[in-house]
Amino acid sequence: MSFLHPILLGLGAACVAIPVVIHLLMRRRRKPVRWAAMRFLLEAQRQRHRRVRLEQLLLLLTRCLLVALVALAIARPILGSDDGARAGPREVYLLVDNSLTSAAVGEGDQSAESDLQRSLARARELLGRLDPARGDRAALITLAAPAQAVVSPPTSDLGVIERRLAELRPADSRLDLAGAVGLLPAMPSGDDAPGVTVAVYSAFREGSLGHGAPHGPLPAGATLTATPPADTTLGNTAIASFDLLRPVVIASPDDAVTGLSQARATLTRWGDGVDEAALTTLRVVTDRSGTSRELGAAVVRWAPGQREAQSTIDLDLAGLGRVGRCVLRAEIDRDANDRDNTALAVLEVREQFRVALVGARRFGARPRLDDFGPSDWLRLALEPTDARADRIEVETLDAARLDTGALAGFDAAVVAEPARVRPEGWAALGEFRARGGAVLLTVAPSPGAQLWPEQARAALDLPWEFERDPTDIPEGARTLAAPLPDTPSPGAADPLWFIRAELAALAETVSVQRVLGVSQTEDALLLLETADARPVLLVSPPGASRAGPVALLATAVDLDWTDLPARPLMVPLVQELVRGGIGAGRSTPTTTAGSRLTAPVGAVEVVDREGADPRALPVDPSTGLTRDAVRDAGVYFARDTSGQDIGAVIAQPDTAASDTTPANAGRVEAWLGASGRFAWTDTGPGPGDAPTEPSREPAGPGPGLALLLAALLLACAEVGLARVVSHASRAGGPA
Amino acid sequence: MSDGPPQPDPRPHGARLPEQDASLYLHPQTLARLRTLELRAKMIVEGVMSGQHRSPYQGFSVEFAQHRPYVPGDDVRHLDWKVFARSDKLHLKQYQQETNLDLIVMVDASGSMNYGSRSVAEASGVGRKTSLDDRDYWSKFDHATALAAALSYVTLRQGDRVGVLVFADEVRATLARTGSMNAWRQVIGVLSTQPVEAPTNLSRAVDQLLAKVSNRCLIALISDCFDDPAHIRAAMARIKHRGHDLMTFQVLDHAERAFEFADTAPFEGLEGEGLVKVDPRAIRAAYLDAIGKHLDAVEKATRSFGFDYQLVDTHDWLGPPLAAFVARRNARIKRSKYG
Repeated sequence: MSFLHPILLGLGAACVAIPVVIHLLMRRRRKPVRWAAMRFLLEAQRQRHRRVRLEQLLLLLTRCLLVALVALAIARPILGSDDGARAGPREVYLLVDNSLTSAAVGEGDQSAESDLQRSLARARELLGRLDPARGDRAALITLAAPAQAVVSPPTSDLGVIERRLAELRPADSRLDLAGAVGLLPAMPSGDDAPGVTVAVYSAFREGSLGHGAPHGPLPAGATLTATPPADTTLGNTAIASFDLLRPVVIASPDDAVTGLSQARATLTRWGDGVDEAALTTLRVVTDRSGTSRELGAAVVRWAPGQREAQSTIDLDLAGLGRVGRCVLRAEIDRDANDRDNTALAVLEVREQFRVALVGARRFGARPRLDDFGPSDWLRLALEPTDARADRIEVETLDAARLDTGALAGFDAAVVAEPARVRPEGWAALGEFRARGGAVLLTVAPSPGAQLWPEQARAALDLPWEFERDPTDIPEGARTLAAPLPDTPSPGAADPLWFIRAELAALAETVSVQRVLGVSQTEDALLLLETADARPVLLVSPPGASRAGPVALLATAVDLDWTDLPARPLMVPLVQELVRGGIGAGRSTPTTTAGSRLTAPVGAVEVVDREGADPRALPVDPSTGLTRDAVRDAGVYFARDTSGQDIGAVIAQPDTAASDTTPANAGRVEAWLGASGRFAWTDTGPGPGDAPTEPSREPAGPGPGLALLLAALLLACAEVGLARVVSHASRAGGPA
Repeated sequence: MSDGPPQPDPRPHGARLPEQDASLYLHPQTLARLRTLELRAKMIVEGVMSGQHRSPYQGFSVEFAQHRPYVPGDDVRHLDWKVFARSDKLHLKQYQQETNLDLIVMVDASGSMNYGSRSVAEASGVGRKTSLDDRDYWSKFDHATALAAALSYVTLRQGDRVGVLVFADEVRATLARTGSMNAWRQVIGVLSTQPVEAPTNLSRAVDQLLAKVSNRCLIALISDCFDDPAHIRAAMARIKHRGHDLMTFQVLDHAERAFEFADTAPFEGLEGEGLVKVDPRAIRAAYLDAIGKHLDAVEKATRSFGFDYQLVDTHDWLGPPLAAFVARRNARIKRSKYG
C-alpha cells in the first residue's frame, strides 16, 4: 500500500501523540484534597482501580487510533501494486482539450462556463494538489490538432503551468489525442521512478472524440485518466463549407464589380432541436473598407430530423470597388458553439483577365468567316464584342514559339492549334498550369493522326488516354448532350454552373461530326458528350493540387469537325470555361484548421496577420504545404522570397469537431482504454464538481473512504466510551 | 476523670478564650431550641443526689415502690404495720428513690474529625469568617464540640452532672462530672482541644472511661466512627455490660456522604494514610457503597444494644435534629417500663 500524501501521513502520525500528551498533561500534579474518609476511598479505589486503568487505557488507545485513521484517510492510501500509486514524486501530464468542441457552452447562456473553462478549473485543482517540494512535476499538452506540448518535459515550476493554462483559448481544430500521446516522452522505469499520470481533461462530446481515431499506446509506466463525458446535450449548427462560385471577378472601368456572384454554403446541425423544424439565417458579410457590410443573406429551413442543408446566397458585389482581395465571412445565428458559426472565403477582384490564345498569329484585318481558323473562333468567343465590358484581354501567342516567358502574366491559356506546339511549348504550358493557370485544350483540325496528345499528356499530367486518329461520329449521334456532373458540390466544381440551366438546350443545337477519342478516368468531370456517349468536353478533376484546371475540348474548333463555333453555345461555353478555369486556378486554397496550409506556388512562408501571434509559417517547397499546421481558422497570407504577398490561404473551422452530442461513456472508455492502463476519475463534469486527483486515484471510493467511515464509527465509539469512562451519568455533577 | 493528660493550647495569642464565647459552640438558634429540652435517662441511674431520674435504690421517699418480706437485720422502722395487722406477717414498705443523671460526653478528636467542607462564615451564624485557629472551614470536630456543648448545656440546666472526655487513639482530655452551672465554662474549655493526627480507637477510650466510672451513666458518643465496626461493637458491648446508656451521634460532612468530586486529584488522608490519586467519578459508586455499609453497620451495632443512634450532618443546623432526637428518645422512654 502507498499513499498519495505521505507528508500528510507523517503529520498525522505525529498527531497521534496529541492524545498521549493530553493524557500526560492531565496527570500533572494537582493540589491534594485533604480527606477524612480515606478508608472507604481506598476500599473503593481498590475495587475500581483496575477497571479505571483499563478504561482510561482503552480511551487513550481509541483516541490515538482515531487520529491515526484520520491521518491515514487524509494521506489517501492506495492498495495494490500500481506503479502510478507509489509514494514519492509524481509526474502529471495535463492533456487539456482546447479543440473546437471545447468552446461549447450552454445554448442561450453565453455567460455559462464552456467545456474548456471547466476542464481548466479541474486541471488547476489537480495542479494545486501537487507538491514541488516532494518532487512533483507537471507538463501541459493541448489537444487541439495538432497536439502541442506547451510545457514539456515536466517542470516543477507549477506557476508556469498555471500561466499557460490561463492563456489557453479554444482552437478551431479537432481533438488530437493520438498526436498528444505521440508527444509523451519515454517514461523512466524502476522503483525510484516517479508515478506518471496522463490526465485528459475533456467533455468528450462526439465532436472531440475524433471519430474514435486510434492512438498509440501510452509509454510504459504511465496511467491514463479522464473525467467522464459531459451529460448535457447542446444544440449546435455549423457552417460545414462555404465556397464562392466565382472567386475571381473583374471590376468594371468605373471600378465597380460586375457580374453575378454566388456563394454556396453547407450547414450541419447536431444535438437538441434536430428533431424539430427550425430556421437558420445565413449571412455573408465583408469587413472591407473598415465597416461590416452584408453582401447577401439566405434563410435555411430545417425540416424535422434534417441534419444537413445547402444554401446558395446571391451576393451583391456592387460597390466593393477596389481591385484586390476581399475576405467574405459567412455567419449564422449564435448557438452552443460560436467558433463554427463563421466561415471565410476570399474574393479576388481583377481589373481584367489575361488569356493567351496559343495558335497562329494573324496579321492584317480580320479574315472572313470562311477563313476562320480555330484561333479566330476562339478569339471571337473570348472577345465577342469590342466593348470589353468583361475585360478579358486576349493575346495570341505563336504556338510554335511558345515558351515560359511568353506565358508569364496570363491567367489562362487557350490552345487553339496544339499540333503546332513544340515540346518546349508543352513544357511551358505544364509549368503554367502548375502555377495555377487554367488551360483549355482543343484538338488540331487536321484529319490525320494527332501526335500532340502524348506530349500534352506528359507535360500537363493529364488524366486521359487519347486515341491517335479522329473518329467520325455517325449520323444520329452527333447531337451534343450535357450530362449532370456527379459531384457533391456541383457549384464549386462545375465550371459551367452559371449556364447549367440553359446548357442542355444550347447543347442540343450543336452537332459534332468528328472527335478525338478520349478515355477518361472516373475522376474527370464530363461536361459535354455526343449522343453516343463520346466525350466532347472534359475537365481535369479538382484536387488538392495547386495546379490549374485543364479543360479538353475533344473536337477541333473547326466547322469541319463541329458547328459549335457557329452556335450560340460557343461564346458562353468558352467564356465560362475560361472564367471558371481562372476562378478554380486562382482561387484561394482552403484547408481546415488542424492541417498544414496549401501555399500558392512561389510562397516561402505564410503569415496570419490577424492572429494574436503573427508568426510566419515556413513553406515546404517540395510539398507546397506549410511545415506546421495551424489550429485557428482565418485568412493567412503567403509571401514570396521578396516578402510580397502573392496569395491568401484560408483555414476553415474543422466542423467535424462541431458535434456537441455527449459521447457514450463506454465508447470513450473503449477508445481511451486502448492506450493501456486507464481509469475514470470519480467526478463528473458538472459545474459544481470537485475534480479529484487522477493518476493515483483509485477507481471507486477506495480505501480512503473506508478509513473515513471507520474513523467516524470510532469517533462515535470514542464518544460513548468517554462518557462511560467519565462516569458523567453516575456523577451528580461537580462538587 | 479530672486527671486527663495536659493538652496543648492551640489558641492563637490574644484570641478570646473559647469558654468566654459560648456562641462558638452553640448557635443562638440552637441555644433557643435547647432551652425547652429535657434530657432524661432511659434507665435507672445511680445518682448521688436527688433529682428527676429514677434511682436503683429504694429509700424513704414519697413514692411507694413495693413490699418485701422482713428479714432479720432490716430496719424495723420500715415495717408496714398495717399489713402486719391484717396478715400477721412482717413486710417492709419500700419507696422509689429519685436521683440525678450523670452525662458523660465522649468527643472524637481524631484526625478524621478535622475535615469539613462547610465554611465557618456560613456555619457559625454570628458573622465569624474563621475559627479561632484561623481555619475557614467548619470541621466535623467543630460540629461535634457544638453538639457536646449543647448536650452539656441541657444536662446542666436540668440539674444533672456532666463529664467530658475527648479522645482519639486514647483519651486526650477529660472533665470530671460536675453539676454546677458554673461548670459550663469548664466544659467549653475541655472542648477547645484540637484534633490530633491519629486514628480513632474507641475501644481504648471506652476502656479508659469505664475504668474510672462506677455508677451508671448516660454516655453520649460523638464521633465519625471511622473505626472498625467490630471494634465499635466491642466497645458498645462493654458499655452495655456495665449498665450504661449510650447515645451515638455519628457526625459526617455532607461531602463525605455525597462524594461529588469531578476532577481527578490526589486525596490525602488526615490520619496518616498518605496520598492516593483518585478519579472521583470513577469510584463514586463504590465509595458510596462502602460508606453506606459502614453507616449501616454502626447504626445496627448501636441499636442492637438498645442504644440510640443519630446521624448528624455538619451542613445541617444542630438545633432541629437534636431537638427531634431528644423528643423521640423521651417518647420511647415514656412508653417503656421506665416511663
